[in-house]
Amino acid sequence: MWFSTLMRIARKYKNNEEDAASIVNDSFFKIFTNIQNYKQELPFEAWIKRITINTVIDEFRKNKKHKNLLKLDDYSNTDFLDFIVRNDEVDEDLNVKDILGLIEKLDEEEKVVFNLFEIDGYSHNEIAKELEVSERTSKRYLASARVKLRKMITQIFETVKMILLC
Amino acid sequence: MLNLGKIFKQKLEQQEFDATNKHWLELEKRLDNAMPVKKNNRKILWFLFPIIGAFGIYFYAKPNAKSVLAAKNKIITQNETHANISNPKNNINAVKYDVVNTSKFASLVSKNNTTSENTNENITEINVTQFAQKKQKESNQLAEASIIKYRPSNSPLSNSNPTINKEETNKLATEMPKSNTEEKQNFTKHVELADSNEENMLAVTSVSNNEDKNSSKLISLTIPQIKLFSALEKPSTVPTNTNASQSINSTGDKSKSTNHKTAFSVSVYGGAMYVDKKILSANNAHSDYVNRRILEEKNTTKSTVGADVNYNYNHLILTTGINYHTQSEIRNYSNKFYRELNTEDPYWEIVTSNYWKENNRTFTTTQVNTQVVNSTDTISYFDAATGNYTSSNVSTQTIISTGTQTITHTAIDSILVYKDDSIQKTRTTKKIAYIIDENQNNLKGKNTISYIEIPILIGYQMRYGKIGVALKTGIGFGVLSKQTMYYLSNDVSSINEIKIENCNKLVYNYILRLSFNYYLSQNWAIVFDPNFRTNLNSVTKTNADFQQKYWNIGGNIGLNYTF
Repeated sequence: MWFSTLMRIARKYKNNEEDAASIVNDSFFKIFTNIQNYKQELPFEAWIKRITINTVIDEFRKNKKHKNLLKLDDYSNTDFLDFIVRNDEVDEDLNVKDILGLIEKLDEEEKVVFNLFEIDGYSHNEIAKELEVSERTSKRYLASARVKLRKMITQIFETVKMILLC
Repeated sequence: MLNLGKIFKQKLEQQEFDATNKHWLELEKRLDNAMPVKKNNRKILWFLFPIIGAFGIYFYAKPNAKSVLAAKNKIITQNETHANISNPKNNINAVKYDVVNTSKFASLVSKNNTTSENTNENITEINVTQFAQKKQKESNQLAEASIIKYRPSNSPLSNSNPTINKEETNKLATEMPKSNTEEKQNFTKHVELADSNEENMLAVTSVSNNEDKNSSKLISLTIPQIKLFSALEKPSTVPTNTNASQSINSTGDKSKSTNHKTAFSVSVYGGAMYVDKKILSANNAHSDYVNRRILEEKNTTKSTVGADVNYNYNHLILTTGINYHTQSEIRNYSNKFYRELNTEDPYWEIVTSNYWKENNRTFTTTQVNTQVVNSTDTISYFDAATGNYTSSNVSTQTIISTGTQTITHTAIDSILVYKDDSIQKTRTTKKIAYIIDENQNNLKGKNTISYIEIPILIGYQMRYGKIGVALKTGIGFGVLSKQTMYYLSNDVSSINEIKIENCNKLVYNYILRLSFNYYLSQNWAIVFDPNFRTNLNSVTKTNADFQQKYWNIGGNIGLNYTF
């Protein structure tokens, strides 16, 4: 039961199930070895989900040190960023596989910020603290991710439309 | 059209994953590796205890004038007449010092100004003879009179002068009333009061008893503002002007005294010890194994002999030597064993644990032999045809192929009341059966395992007149000498011999001894030491059927000679 819950979280941050399982494995290890720190007044599910997300973030931080961050020159205009953040709609005719495929195509930083913000409900302020970046950077990654995702979704639908018309 | 994040979230929530065995095995492995290994700290404690104990004893016994005075909390003040300071830690014979406010006993103390023979400086002599006589009368003990030489604080040789010449201080200290001591053939006490800023504050005398005559002690004490040196010497070793500086410590409490008591002694002893043991583990042992061994092995007492060499340094005592002892137990194993039976025949196993049995017309509940039987089991019952109690085999019933059979017998008690009883038997085909082996050897006898042990002990000793008491602790290194050992196998199937290759050649023992010495003369003493010993490691190797540690409580008696 909990395995599936944690895998759902990990899978969207990782490009394949194997990597996601590794994150879940690390998370379970932390859960079992820190079970004495769990406070019963908190929901258990929330606690283990938080541990899993923190595991993802920890790994991201570790890897970030060895990677150059994404160049975000194209998205440096704040108004443009806010516009993208506010106006972001997509057709619901997508399946899980499509979505995971789209997310996988994002850069690591974009993927983490997008998932944290959109799926796991973190604020930009929280993301900035967790990833040790500025709020503005967090917004840029989110905007970048959304632009890329929209482009990819548009391409998919146009391709499908062309196939159907033919 | 929905918000990108919302629809992504909705879709991703639909995913389901199944955990594979591989995943859990990997996690289990990681958790196993992360489990903190429980260390057996007890072994370390056995080693630490004597070491810590030794340090404690050493520092406790270490002459420390400050601590002596502080402990007594009796540093004389201007308003007091005198304070009594005893120094039992530094002096076995507990010489006491009376630190006297001379101004309060002006009538008993005389002062003379004189010139030092050695240093040619002006000094003050304080004669406390009258005070000593008063003390002697009051305490009914020998009180030594002393002449105390006092060096004015403005003396160039004073301690307040950083260029103090210690040799000069010694020279002053050695100016003592030699003739007085020689005439009395008694203690000579010499006290120097040096560098006092409190001219009227202190004088010192000693009170000691006659048994202290043989003492040879140098004690240095420090009291705020005043350094006080005192020496107790045998008459024959009264320091003279030429050699006294060797026996007078001029550096105060910081320096070590020069006449610590050191001596070697040897002792030989023999004794007896009670032997008990702890069976630690028996890997894959049958559940009855440990209980059977506890029930069927009997503790015993064994003799021990040895010789010790002791090095005494004040209260500290170091002991080594050689000891021969034997660990043992009496084995009295029954011949019931769990054996794998080489047969295809089914066996009867009696399930009911007891039944009525007639004994002199009284029916008692008797434990059924719970072994697996392949023939019969016998009970007594009342035979209605003859009107007598008789015996019969329970297996006269129809043999069943499977399941449980209940055999009912009727019996009466002593007042002819009928009793019904039953024995339940179950047919079994199990291969491991509880059988009686009439041919098993070595069921009874004595197991022995002998060691030559070298103890290394450290301890603290005290002397009360003719009685000396020492508490010693340490480690013994036992080298296996010989062994004869037969034990129940850990699957309770037979009696096995434990051969020498299955035993540890070296065992480490923790030893605690409380030694009492009764001194017959200055050199000879009778020794009695109750002692405790426990194995720190198993007598058998780790690949043996079981691990076992012995412990002993015993007493030795012997003779000690001090050189």
